Amino acid sequence: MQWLKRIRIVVAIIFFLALTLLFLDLGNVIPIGIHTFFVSTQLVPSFMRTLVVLSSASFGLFFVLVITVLFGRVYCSTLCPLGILQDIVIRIAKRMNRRRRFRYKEQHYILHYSLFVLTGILAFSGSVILLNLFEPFSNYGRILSNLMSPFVVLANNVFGYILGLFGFMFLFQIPILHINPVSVLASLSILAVVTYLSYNHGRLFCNLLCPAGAFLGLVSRFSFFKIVIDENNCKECGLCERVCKANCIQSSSMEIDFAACIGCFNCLAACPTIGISYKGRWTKLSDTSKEADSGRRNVLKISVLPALGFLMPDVGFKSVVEKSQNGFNENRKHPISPPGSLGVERFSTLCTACHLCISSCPTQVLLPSFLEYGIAGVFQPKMNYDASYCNFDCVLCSQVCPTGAILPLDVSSKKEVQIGRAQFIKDDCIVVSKKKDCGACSEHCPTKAVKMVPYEKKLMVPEVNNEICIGCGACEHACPVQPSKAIYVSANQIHQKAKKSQSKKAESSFDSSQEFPF
Amino acid sequence: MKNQMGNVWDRGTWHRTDLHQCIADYATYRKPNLNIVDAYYVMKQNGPRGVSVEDVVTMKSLLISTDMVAIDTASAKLFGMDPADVRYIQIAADQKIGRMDLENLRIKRLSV
Repeated sequence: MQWLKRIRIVVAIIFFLALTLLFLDLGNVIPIGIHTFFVSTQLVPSFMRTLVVLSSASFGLFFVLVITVLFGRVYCSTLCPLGILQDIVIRIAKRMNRRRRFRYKEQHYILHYSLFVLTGILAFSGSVILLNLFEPFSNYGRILSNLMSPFVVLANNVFGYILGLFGFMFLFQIPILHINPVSVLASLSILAVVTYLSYNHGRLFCNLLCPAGAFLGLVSRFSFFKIVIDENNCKECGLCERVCKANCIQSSSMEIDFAACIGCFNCLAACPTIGISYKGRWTKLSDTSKEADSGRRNVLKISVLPALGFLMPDVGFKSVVEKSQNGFNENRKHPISPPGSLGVERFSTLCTACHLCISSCPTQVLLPSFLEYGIAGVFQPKMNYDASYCNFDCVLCSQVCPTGAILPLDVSSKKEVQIGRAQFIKDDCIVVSKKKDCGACSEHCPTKAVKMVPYEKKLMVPEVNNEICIGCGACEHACPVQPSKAIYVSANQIHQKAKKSQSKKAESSFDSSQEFPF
Repeated sequence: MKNQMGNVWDRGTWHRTDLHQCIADYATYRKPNLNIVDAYYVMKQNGPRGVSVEDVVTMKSLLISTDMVAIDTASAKLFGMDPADVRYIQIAADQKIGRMDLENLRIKRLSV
């Protein structure tokens, strides 16, 4: 039964490489269709997106459920990038210590399912904090975009520079505009935890912390194909138990805890006889009813836990972001959510902070936040107009978002989405304070919500029309006033529709068929 | 003259200091050998980005000069402004970077 393991490894490599490249695709050369295909197979994001809107992600979710019902948790060993990362670590660990072996261990069902239930309750009550912390796809994304991506940019720049010396100019220099050290540190710690756990305990992360693992474990209890030990053919050599990364095979009692099995098929490959096999339900084997019995009991025990969830204080961001009467904040500290997210609160309850939008944002205006969205929204992306501004003609983040936190927009409707409003502090403006012309804000404004009007003798001063402002932050980014800008965007808690800017047809100042004006 | 601003990395400094003076001063550092102003389609309002095609008029004109102050003066007139209202042109002329007195210059006017 070697071939099942081989198929698993091939599929795993394809998905691991594809999902990795999506996060490191600096020039956004990978077509959106390929993006959508690979990302839609990710369980938690696709589940969330399906709750929001029926889309290709729903097919992905359906596909994952079907393969789990049929084959068990093969998702964990083929489609999940964090799972494959752990497999790589486990492989390296084995290289370093050839005598390393796994042993059967009692699964931590109580802890795992308590955490799962708590995660679910919090997520449905509007706080995705636990989902953010333990969801595998988002964690993998954060590891890549926070830890790997800067090095890829650096490599690109060094290569680009060297090639430039020889006259090849096709690699552009990419500036790194901003790095959130807290987010980097957090990604580093989760990478350390995952590496430590997999190096020493195999796939413990998947069977202790991962919400996707918990859910698929529940489904796989009912799966059609299962790995079973055939008492008649088993020689009790224990090789299958030794190679089981999930510690779920007990060779002495010939039991397999299939809910914890991550479907790597190493045991099938390791078995020297036909003592262990992958069988459909119709083949009646000797006693398979004992399987996962203890696990089932534990699930019953934790059914009291939902009560615990409601006792949790509201760690949502509601306590942090207070709304003003007119629907937008006067305070410039509040985070601005990207266009397509419909509103700050909605965004914060749906985003698992995978940072795929951050990786794909061409102007690097999307950056990981820390506590701006509240504790529940830690590391969710926000618009950072210090670093950059939102490109008027770009909708990439809305196209790549896997969870539906940012819904797809087309370019023309994006141009009317008002995510915030420009606030102009006239007394701080260069024109007023220094009596010198400037106009940087108006130059950058794509809708001319900021326009220059005559001021004092021959000066021009900005004037803001918030009806047509879309809150892209171009004015704030361009404003030269230090230390705090004279024009800034305040967040719209609920995104509004901006009016279209109206302008009359411009008239020529001279008749080109006639004489020159000079 | 204003286009020379593209040579500068931190344009915020110019905006903070005195935009017109900085634009004029830069011309004392290095003047282009030949200046060409393409005034075929001219954006008359909502510049420099423009909001719609309504902002653009077709003038079908082209200016070529070795004197960047003179060409900016002519451009301002083409645009329909008094060149003296554009402060950096006035400053540049005062600093003898180029000339604003178009009437004393030999200008070839070609109509096709």
